[in-house]
Amino acid sequence: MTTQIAPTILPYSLIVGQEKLKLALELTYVAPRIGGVLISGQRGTGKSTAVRSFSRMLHNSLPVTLPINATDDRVVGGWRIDELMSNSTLVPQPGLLQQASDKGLLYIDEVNLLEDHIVNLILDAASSGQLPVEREGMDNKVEVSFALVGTMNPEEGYLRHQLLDRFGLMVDVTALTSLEQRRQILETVLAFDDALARQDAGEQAELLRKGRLEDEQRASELRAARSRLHTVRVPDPAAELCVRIADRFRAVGHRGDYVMALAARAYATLEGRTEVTAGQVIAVARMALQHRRASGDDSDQMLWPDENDTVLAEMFSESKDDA
Amino acid sequence: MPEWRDGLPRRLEPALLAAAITPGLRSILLFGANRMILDTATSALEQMLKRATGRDVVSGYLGSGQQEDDLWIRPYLSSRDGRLSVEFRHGALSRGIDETQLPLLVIPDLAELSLAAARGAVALIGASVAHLERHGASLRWPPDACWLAACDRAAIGKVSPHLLDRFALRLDAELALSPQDRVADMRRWALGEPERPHLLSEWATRSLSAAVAVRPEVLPEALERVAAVAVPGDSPRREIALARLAAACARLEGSGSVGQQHVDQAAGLIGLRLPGSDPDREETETAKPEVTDQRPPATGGGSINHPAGPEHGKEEGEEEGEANRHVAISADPPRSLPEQAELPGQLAGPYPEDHAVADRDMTSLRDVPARFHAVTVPRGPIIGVRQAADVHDLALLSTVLTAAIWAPYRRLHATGWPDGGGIRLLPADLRGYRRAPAPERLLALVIDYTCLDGWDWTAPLLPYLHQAYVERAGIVLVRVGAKSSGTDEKRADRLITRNLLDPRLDARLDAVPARATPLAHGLFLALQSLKHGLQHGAGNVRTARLVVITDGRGNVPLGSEPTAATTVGRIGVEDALKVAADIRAIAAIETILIDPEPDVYPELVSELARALGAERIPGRSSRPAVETDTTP
Repeated sequence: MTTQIAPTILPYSLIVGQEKLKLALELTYVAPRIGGVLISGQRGTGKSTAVRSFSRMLHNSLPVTLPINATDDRVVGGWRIDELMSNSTLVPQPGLLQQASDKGLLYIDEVNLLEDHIVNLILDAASSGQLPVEREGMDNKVEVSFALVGTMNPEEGYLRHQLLDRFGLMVDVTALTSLEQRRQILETVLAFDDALARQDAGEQAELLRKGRLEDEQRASELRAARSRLHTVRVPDPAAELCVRIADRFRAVGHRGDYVMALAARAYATLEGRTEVTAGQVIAVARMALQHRRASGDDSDQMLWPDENDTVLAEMFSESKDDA
Repeated sequence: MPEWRDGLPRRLEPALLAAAITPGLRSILLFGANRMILDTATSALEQMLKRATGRDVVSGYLGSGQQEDDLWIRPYLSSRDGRLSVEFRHGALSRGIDETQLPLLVIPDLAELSLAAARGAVALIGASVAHLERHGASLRWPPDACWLAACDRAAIGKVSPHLLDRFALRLDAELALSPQDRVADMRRWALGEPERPHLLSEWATRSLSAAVAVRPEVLPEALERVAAVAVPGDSPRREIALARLAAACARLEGSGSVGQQHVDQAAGLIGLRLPGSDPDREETETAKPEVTDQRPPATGGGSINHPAGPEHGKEEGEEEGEANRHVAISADPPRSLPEQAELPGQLAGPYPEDHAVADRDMTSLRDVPARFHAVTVPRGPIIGVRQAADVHDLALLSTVLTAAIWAPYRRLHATGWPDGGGIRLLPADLRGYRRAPAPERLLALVIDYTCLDGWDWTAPLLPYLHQAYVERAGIVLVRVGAKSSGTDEKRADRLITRNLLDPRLDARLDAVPARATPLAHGLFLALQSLKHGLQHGAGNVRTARLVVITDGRGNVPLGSEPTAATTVGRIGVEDALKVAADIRAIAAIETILIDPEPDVYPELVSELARALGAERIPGRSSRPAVETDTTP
């Protein structure tokens, strides 16, 4: 039983503001080994829309999505029940983790509301790279590898550290406060409503056409950056800065070091540079470390106080002095 | 004139019309709507949606008992050609997959909505795409259901703000009925007058039909007005909802543009105070008659057919019957909508959650994780079904359903299948219940109210309450020496609750001291509860904490009958020490004694702490040092 009715999503290029969120998504595309991004933010800040629009822009399809209503048979995979019942034949049905592996990305909306046993399945597959499917006579072991993109509202609780660590980057999203941006949001939303109504009536929706054109342009830029990534050098000072920052912020484990370096490399690529400088490292440091810091308590709140930005600025100055 | 027509408050009609023509407003929250108003609003909305979309509207109700399978998709046993088979049927939340149908999902009490339904609502309302990945089904569709929920303002603190934020259109449905309305209502509902469904007014019908085709331009002044009027919240959804409602008002008027006046109309509909409005003036205007009772324009829908024309505000036509009177939008804008002062909920505003006291779990949309895994006896309520590895706590129906799904295949391929159909259970078919964990931790409080005078005993207690909240611990409150009606002062009393959020706890904690101090009895009640929780075979509690606040001066022996005259003296203290020793003997208890640091008999506190094996925490001196001398 598979039905896919394609909804119309707001084009990525029409999303107002949220530059950090967009940057994080673009970095994970340019350098897939970053491993995805956790987007944590207030209500109504367009987190889910951004992820879906981004996927639509680059792949012309929605991401493989693990909803909070998923049962374990759909996560892991099994047999197609409709075939089983109507034709008494066994037809394998790949689970969401396997589908995500094929596409390279698994999107989890409201990731902090996922049931514990589903989280365990994801963790097992993500950490071992293997998905054992043992159900009703099926005994398969599938190699899986995918980036995780999750969106969550921190009002409803936080994530287990093991799952947090599986996200390469993390970005906090807040509501835009400037009058101009709020006004732009209203204009965009009302114009999009109007475009949908026109589309339903069989009319041409200029807004959608224009948005898709801009999306195509951005998608080709990102594809070009992705193919150029390996040509961008990470010189020793930049690599050492990554390590120093991770140490300074007491990052748990070493994944923060190399995710930071990789993200900085992707950022440098997007900026058209040939090698990573301290500026790109500092720009992505928070994204790479915020969810990997030892908080020292049980709150799991993944906070990033303003003082941390001051510390980063100081480290940036020091690195320039050293150079 | 009556405030309502056919059981629906008049001022709700234009807002419901706006929702019918605007998909982005189809999540409606009615504050204080009784069941009758909700039913009528449902009936009205069904008709409006059908006219606006041309689709069949299918209503479904969401309540407190539905689980994931009920709501999304579930297998049903059926008989086909004399053989048992299984069919999958969609639940209320996935009915929108059928494009010919428009689901109208009604929530009679949002504060009591089941966890599964609340999670579903968060996933679907306002989303651009819905996903269903359950029981082999993999479905994706644009979720365009209309949601209509009711909630008392007083209960809004029980609802997750994350869920509340999904409701774009907030309307006050509380209505103080006039005697005439009450008589009319009584006749209709109690004296056997025939019930009839709410019928749309002729004006509403015309407005709807015309508004569907109107696409007004949004003027810059309207956007500026939205920014000025909207409640500055952390979610931009509020401004978006106001702008959409203003656009809908313009469309219902047939106006070619959305202007400032439409934003003001929209604000009035949801009870937002306009900047610079004068409450006193509004109060005066409340007395104005007739503003809401206008006759519909008679010329083919009036203003709808003449968008933005100068004749737009004309009132024409013959006097029409009661059924055609309406809350007008299409006439002169300042007079066409309910005046702001008419709205009883205005002062409270459309976003009561901004000021409500949270009366819910901090992570109210999450399943509670179990911290211990060696639970042998399931105790919590059933919240779903999972594949089972053994026959413990089997979900029999789900097990049979799973076997029935496989029966046709096994019948074909297995040998030795019994004649005459039937099903065969294999271990892979076993399904067990998923249960919400029963409290695994327990906080027992013994509070001696005769020693609390003159110091803030809540300050040292607060960390333990906070910890109990975080751990979702069950609570036992034992009150010693608390004056209460109907109970004997020489007996302690006890309250057992599932968690700290039980409202009875708050009421019980606030007590007046009595004359006697039945400390031994209080400790005995705590001992009973601790033993029951930790040692009873069906108990689920794994660890417990006992917090005692007392000066140790028990003056009622344990064996004291409620009516017996008892001798005050050392016996009460000795009995308390004996019970304390019994408590100490129980493993897995952490005991804390908060010491009120009495001036007399301080040694009794020490004795009791020793007997309990308790950590002794100073009570008075643990307060913030507001009275201490800070001079260097």
